[in-house]
Parts: sequence; structure tokens; C-alpha cells
Amino acid sequence: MDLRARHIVEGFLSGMHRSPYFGQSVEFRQHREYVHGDDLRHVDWKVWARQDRLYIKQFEEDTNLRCLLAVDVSNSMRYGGGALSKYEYACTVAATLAYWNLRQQDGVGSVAFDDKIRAKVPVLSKRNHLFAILESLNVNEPADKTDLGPLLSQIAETYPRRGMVIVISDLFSNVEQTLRGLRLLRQRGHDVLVFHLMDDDELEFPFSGPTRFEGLESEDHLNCNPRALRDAYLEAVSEFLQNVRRECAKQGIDYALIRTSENLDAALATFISNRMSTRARA
Amino acid sequence: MFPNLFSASPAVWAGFIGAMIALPVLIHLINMLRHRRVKWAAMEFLLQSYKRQRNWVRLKQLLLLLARISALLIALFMLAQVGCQDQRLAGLLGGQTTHHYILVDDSYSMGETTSGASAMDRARETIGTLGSRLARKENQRVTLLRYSQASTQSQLASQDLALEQLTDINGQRVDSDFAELLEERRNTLQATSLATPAVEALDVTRQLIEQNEGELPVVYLLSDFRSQEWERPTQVLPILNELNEADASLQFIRCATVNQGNLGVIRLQPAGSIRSSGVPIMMQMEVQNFSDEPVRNITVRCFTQPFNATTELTGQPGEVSEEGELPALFIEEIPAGKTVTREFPVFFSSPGRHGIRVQLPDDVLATDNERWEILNVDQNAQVLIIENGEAAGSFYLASAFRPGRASSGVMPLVKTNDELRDFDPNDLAAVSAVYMNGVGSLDPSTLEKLKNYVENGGGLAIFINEDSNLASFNQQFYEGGEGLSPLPLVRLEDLPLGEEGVPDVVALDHPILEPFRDANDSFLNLIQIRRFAVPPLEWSSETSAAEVAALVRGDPTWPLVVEKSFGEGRVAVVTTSADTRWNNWQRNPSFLVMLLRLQERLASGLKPAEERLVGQPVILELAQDQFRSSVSFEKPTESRDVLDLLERTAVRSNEADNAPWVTGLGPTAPEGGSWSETGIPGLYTAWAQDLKGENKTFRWALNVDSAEGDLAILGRRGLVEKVDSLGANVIDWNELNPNPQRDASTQLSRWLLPLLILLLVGEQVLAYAASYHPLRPGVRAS
Repeated sequence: MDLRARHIVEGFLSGMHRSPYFGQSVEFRQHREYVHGDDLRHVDWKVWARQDRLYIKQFEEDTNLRCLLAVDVSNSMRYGGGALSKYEYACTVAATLAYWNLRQQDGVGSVAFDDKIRAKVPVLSKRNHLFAILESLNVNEPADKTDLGPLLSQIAETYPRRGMVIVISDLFSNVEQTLRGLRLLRQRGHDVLVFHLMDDDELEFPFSGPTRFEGLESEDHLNCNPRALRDAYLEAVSEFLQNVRRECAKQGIDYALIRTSENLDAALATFISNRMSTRARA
Repeated sequence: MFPNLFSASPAVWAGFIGAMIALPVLIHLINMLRHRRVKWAAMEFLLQSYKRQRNWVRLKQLLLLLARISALLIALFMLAQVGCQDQRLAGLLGGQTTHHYILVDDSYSMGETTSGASAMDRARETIGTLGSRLARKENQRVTLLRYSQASTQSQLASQDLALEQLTDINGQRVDSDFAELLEERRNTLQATSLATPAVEALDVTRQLIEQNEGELPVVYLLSDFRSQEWERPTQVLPILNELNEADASLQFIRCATVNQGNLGVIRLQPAGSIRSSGVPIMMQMEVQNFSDEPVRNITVRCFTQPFNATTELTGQPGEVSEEGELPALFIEEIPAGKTVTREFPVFFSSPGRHGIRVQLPDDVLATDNERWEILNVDQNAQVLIIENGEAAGSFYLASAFRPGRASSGVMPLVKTNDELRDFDPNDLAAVSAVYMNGVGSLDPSTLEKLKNYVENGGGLAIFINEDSNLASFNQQFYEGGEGLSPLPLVRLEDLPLGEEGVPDVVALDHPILEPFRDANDSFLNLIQIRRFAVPPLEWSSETSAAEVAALVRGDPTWPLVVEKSFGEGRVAVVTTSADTRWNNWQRNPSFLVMLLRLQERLASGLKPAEERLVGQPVILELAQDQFRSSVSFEKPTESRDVLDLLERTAVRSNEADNAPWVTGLGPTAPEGGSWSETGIPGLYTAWAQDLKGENKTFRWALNVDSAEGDLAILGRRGLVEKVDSLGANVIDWNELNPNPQRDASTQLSRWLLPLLILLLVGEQVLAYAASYHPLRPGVRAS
């Protein structure tokens, strides 16, 4: 896993990144008018002396990025019609991002969850921390149903310091609760990224002939002719995707639908490119 | 519904149809069981789509299933049709044999000619056409049956004759030899002289179809379909219904399509009952015009064929007797549909069984233009006169029957009451009538003998005279209305002298005094009745079932000549005497006429007109102690110059030692053959020999059934109306196509093929709609 992550990152990254947060730094960024509650230590008294108005000095924070990888390891992630299952793909994504962050001396931690948190690795920036993160993902064999909404709320409570929260999941959970959890993370000031992993089969439903579908996370099953249900299924999935995409956009959450058949580096490049252009516009 | 398919068995069809219905369902169920398993994460979306689509998916699947079942069923029917067209395929499929029952009406009306060809010629041609049609198919069998042969079966109801023996062709498979066989048999088909209805042939066919279960029966009726038989087909319809229920296809082929007029001799018989040699015998002939137009100027030829004792003694069986032609009769006009009767005298100088023939001019149907009759002429008809009292009455009676040297054909035999008592009943049966001159008291056995005699057809005339005992008469002869006499007599009445011009005797509308019905007739006016016996005042001829021929004048009038039937015979009572003591009638010429006409009436019961039809058996019984068993039968042939001779050996009619010999011609006779032995109209003679070696002959005249001569045909529309409910097909003989391009099965296939194509297209559309087709590339969720 770490080799796979290293290979992806080495081929992709170069240089340092700028922190998106304002904080203590030597490099001044801008003035901002004082509002009630601002720390008086940041008031630029020289400006006050000249203009008799209170302004706050803001600096580029030079601190490390705190990145939390929330990886869905529930049973639904076990599905894989191609070379990698969603779970394997998610682990690869998580490892890649962890390696990337650690290499930039940023702090990175991970949470593996299904209906609850199965493993948790604190956010650290030690180089050998990657192994602990990979270990936490590997040891967790997917077992139960996803329950993403409460879990994201729990993360928001557990990690009060603002940072980047990257959710890697198929989001096959209660959509409303999931979106509520994501909304909470945003409200807590986290930069939230959602890597929505889906298999080609789930997006195209290419089955034909009499088929018995058995739920990975439930006892539900259905005998049917898949062709007959395909249009309605695709419509339901599209509706789901649009709903998630719309809510994420509304909350300022970076959302990326990634098919497990895509090359990860290309998918990440596309995602980062899109994200940077979006930030630049903002 | 599909009578031409390769199987008519409901069980087979139920099996096929059941399989066709079950097959798609089974395949569907098996496919459902053979599904692959997929562990699926996005069950929520799948279940959601299923919930949304469930009803529509089920409906599409049901429609698809129905389309597939329908397509299979139509394919099955089409295959069956192919099996019908190509019987080899039908054979491979275990297909059924089609059995064609061709029933040919060979009654004599089929001999009607139109444009030089008879209806039977057209029937033969139609059979040839049918043969050509069937030769193109496989798995075909043919049975050919004539109406006349089937009628044999009805005559043999008690005998054990296999149905197959009645047919000309029995279930023959249509193969390479069939054409030759059919050609041979159809060339022998001729119109007979019989009047055989269709009902018997249809009944035999019904039985044959029952025997040949599992075949597809097609019944063809080749007939002229005359109105007299088909206007009210009450006998035929039940059997046709049975055939229809047996899934037989009924094909009515009209071999006569034009209504034509026809003349036929419908009756030839003696006019009176006196058949004695040496006196003229009046013959009566009746001709009917079976057409819608009157026919004029008809010349009827009459022939006699004497056959006397000399012929019987010296003649040889098989010799054709010469005919003598009588003056022809001329009929000026016979109105449409009416009959005309003509009388003509024949004279035979010697006793014998003489033949008489009348012949009409040629017309469209020759068979009913001739008619024959045998006259059994005796030397004299013997009458018995019973004397009771004054012999004068007997004298007048005997004199009336033998007027001078002339012969009336009646020979009187005078006996007394006592002699009547000793008279052998067989001898009494030989006399043509008994005349009682006065009635005394008879002993019971004599009275019983007389009663038996009259009951068996004898005639009795009673003249009341001075010596009659009326009380005894009423007791023994009237018996309260149950006896021989038509009326009781209570007293004697004297008739006072009448006025000038008022006759004593009034003739009524009765055959005995028919010539004197004219009131101006002077003969009756001259009769004087002085005394007579009278019935009680309350007596009425109407309540007594009696007929009054003459009355005595007066107020009230009294019956003079009264007649009534008793058993098969007749009894007449004359209430006055046969002698001159009570009247002067004996000296009046009308007495002779009255007596001879009375004799005819009284003798008619002993010689009832007997008419035999062709095809009926001729049975001869011979006393074993008088005759030898070998008998030669002469029968007419189609050629008038040749007679057929059939030798028969009579057998005992029963196990008794003195049982009479029995032999004859026809199907029911011992050693008899088919109806054809008596199938030709004409004179039939049996030559037997008594134990002395002398020839004894017995003769019969066999004639056609005159009703068959009515050639009015029902017409196509009328026939269709009669048999429409049976799904029968009615066509004219010339509409039968030897190489049908458009038969029922082809037409059915023409409907089924587009329907099948439509269904298959529909099935594909439904299958596409039900998503049974491969996935279109590039469609995905976004």
C-alpha cells in the first residue's frame, strides 16, 4: 500500500503548498477592520495612530496542514467489479494522501469506520507515521453497515482543531444524515473533501439475464431481470449523485466522484486541478 | 374448428395446446431458477427501482409470455395445416388419415337427362374429379357407397351382414392402384329403378365412421336433392346432426341443377273386382304430370301379355312371351301437377296370370314411363246362393249372373242352409260372395263360419223375403250393432201405390246404383216395391257406420239397400225380396246392373289391389306335399328381349315336418341375393313343379315408386337453408375443382401466417421493452 502511495505521489507532487489558514507568521498578508471579539494583540496600532481606526493585521500562517482521512471500510466497500474493490481503492487513496501530506511535513491522521469508528490514528507529521495509518486501514476488515452521518458528527466533535477532513466513501448511507454530518464539519471550520468512490457496475448497471442480487450490508435480496430495472436504477443513482453533488457545492465541500476503474493519479490530478482553480476563483 | 388438421382427437389437441402453453411458462420458470448471484452494495437503489417498476415489469412479462404462447399455438396450427397439405409430414407427425365417404344417390330420379347427360353421369364425373383431388394427397382413404346398397342394410336389420359388404369401395387407401379401382367402380354406377332415400346411406356411413374412429371423416352426398325428400328432411337431419357431432365434414354436391317436367304412370290396376276369362276386364291407369306446365296430346300405349294354362304347362322358364298391343289411349291434356285417370278394357279368353303393360312417350326420365300389372284371371268368379224358403229368389239371382248364354264372369252355386252348415271353410273362402235369399235361423257354427268368411274379406248379401225371421235376423245378424247386418229390421211394411211419376226407389250417391243416380232414369222409375222390411224409426246410417245405396219412397223414407264393412269384407242388406212376390225389380234391367255392381263391391275384399315395388323381396311358399323344392325364377332385364333365369332350391320355412317350402328373390329370401334381384321393374315369374312333374307358375308385377318421378329440385338456396346449421358445404357438381388452389386450409394459413409474423414482431418489441435484449452501450448513471 505504501509503495503504491509512494509511486503515485512521487510521480505527481513537487514543491510545498500554502496553508489555507491565516495565523502566526512573518509574512504579512492583509489588513482587516476590527470587529468585536478580535484579539487585541493583532490590532495594528500604527494604523490606529495615523487613521484613528482599528485594523487587524493578518499574516500568512506558515503552520503545517492537519489532515484527517476518514475512510469507509463498511461491507458495501467490498464490492468490486474491476481490478480493485472500492475498499482497496479507498485505502490506496488514503495512503496516497497520507504519504503526500507527510512528505510535506503536514500532519495526517486517519479514521476507519463503518457504522462506528473502527480504528483511529491521531494527526501527526512524523515521517514514519504513514505506517501507522496504513496499519489502521489494513487491520480493519469491512464488516458492518455504514452509518456516515453520526460518525461525521463524532469526528467533528473529536477533532475540534480546524484542518482538512477527507472523506473517502461510497456514501451508501442515509443521505440526509451524511449531508448533515458534512455540513457540521464545515461549520466547525474544516476544509472538507469528499472522494466519492463508485464502481463502474454501480454507475452503469451492465447486468443481464436472470440475476439474484443479494445485499452486502443487509439481508435484502431481489430476483429480477436487471435489464428491466436498469433505467429506473440509473435514474435513482443519478438522483442520489446529483443530490450529494448539489449539497456539497452548497456547503463549499470539494466533491469528486471517482470510479474505481480510473487511474488514481489522473483522478487526483483532475481533482487537485479543479480544486486549485476553484480556490483561485474564490 | 379445424376439421382438416392431422388429428381430430380432442385428447391429442389438448396435449398439444397444453404443451404450447406450458412451454414458455416452464422456460421462464427455469430461467428464474438458473439466475446468477451477485453480491450488491447499492441494494437501496435497486429495491427502489424495483418498487417503482414492479407492476409495469410484471405486465410486460405477462404480455411477453402471452405473445410467445400465441406464437407457438399459431405455429402449431400452421404446422397442422402443413400436415394437412402434405400428408407425408402429417404421417411423420403421427398424423390422421382423412376418410372420404362418397355416397351416391342411385335412385331412379338420377336417370333424369339434361343436355344429353343424366344426373348419374354427372355424379360419375364428380367422383372422377374427387379421385383426382385425392391422388395429390397422402393419408387418404375412400369409401364408395350407393344409396341402393345401403337400403339393403335396412331390409336386413335382423341379419348379420357386415357393413363393409355394402360398399363398392371400402376404406381403400389412395395409392398408385386406387385410380384404376375407382375408374372401374364408377363406370359400373347406374341409376337404379329404386326410390332409395339418403337416410339409410347416411346411417350406414355413421356406423362406418364409428368403426373407423380416429380418422377425419369427410362425407360427400352426390344426389339430385329433390324437393320431395329434402323439403322436409325430418328423417335425415338427426343423422346429419350425428355426423356433424362426429366432426364429419359434410359436402353436398348437386348433380341436378335444373327443374324439369316429367310424366309418370303412377297407377295401373283393375277397375273392378271381377276377373274372369271371356268377359272384358276394365283396367284403370293414372298418369301424373310432375311439372309446372300442362302437358298436351299424350299417347299411352297399352300391351297385354297372355299367360294361360297352356303356357304354364308347355312353356319353358326363360322364354319371352309375346305382347299384344291394344288400341292406344289418348290424353288431351294433363294440367300442371295434376293426374288424369283413364280406363281401358282388356280381354282374356282363358284363365291365367296375364300381364298388362302401359307405356308413356319418352321424356327426361324414362324409368317411370312404364307400369306393369298381373291379372289373375279365373274361369269364373264363383258365388254361393243360399236358399231359404221360396226357390224363385235363387232362380232370379242365378239368372242375373248367367243371363242367357252370355257370361258375366260369375258362376252361381245354389245351396241350402243345411248345405252351408257342411261347407268346408276353405271352399267357402274360394267363393267371391255369398247371397242369402231370406234369412232363417242358422246354427251357431254356420253363423261363425260366415262371420270368419266376411272378416277375412268375403262378401255377404242378404235379401229379405216372406220366409225371413226378423227376430232371428236381429239376434243372429245384427247383434246390437256388432253383427254382420248394418241394420236391425223390426217389421214388414207395405208400400201403397204411389202417384204417377213418383218412383218407388230413390238411388243415392253410392257405387252400387251409381249409373242410376240421374232422377230421370226410366229404369228405376219402373220398379215397384210392394213390401219390404223396415228398421226401427230411430235407426240412422250415420250412427251405424252403414252406407245406404237406395231408399224406398215414403214419409219417412226407408232404406232399401244398405251396406257396411265387416272386418276386411262387406255385407249388404236388401230389405225386399229377390223374387217377384214383393217387387218387380227382377224384371227391370237395373236389377242385373245392381247385382253385378254389388258383386264387385262384395268381391273386392277378397282381392285387394296389391302393389309391389322394385327392390322388395319376392317370397314364394309352396306346400311340401304338393311341390318339389327346385324353383326357377324369371326376372326381367334391361333388354326387353331377354329374361334372366335364377335357379333356387326352396327350404323349409321352419322345423316342422309339414312346413312349407320357402324360396324367393331379394335380400330377405332364403338363398336370396341383394335388392338387385328384384331391382328391375317388370313381370317376374316363378316356375315350380308339382310332384307329378307338371309346371305351376306364380307371377308378380314389380313397379317403381311413382313418387320418385317428381323431379322438382329443392334449389341451392333452399338446400343451404336446410343444412346451414350443420356447417355443410353445398356446391354444384361442376364447381368441384380437381386441383383446388384455395381450399379451406390454405385460406386458414393465409390468415395464420401474417398473424404469426405480427405476433413475432410484437414479441420482439415486448422483449425489448421488457429488457431481454443486450444492453445499449454507453448508457450510465451520471
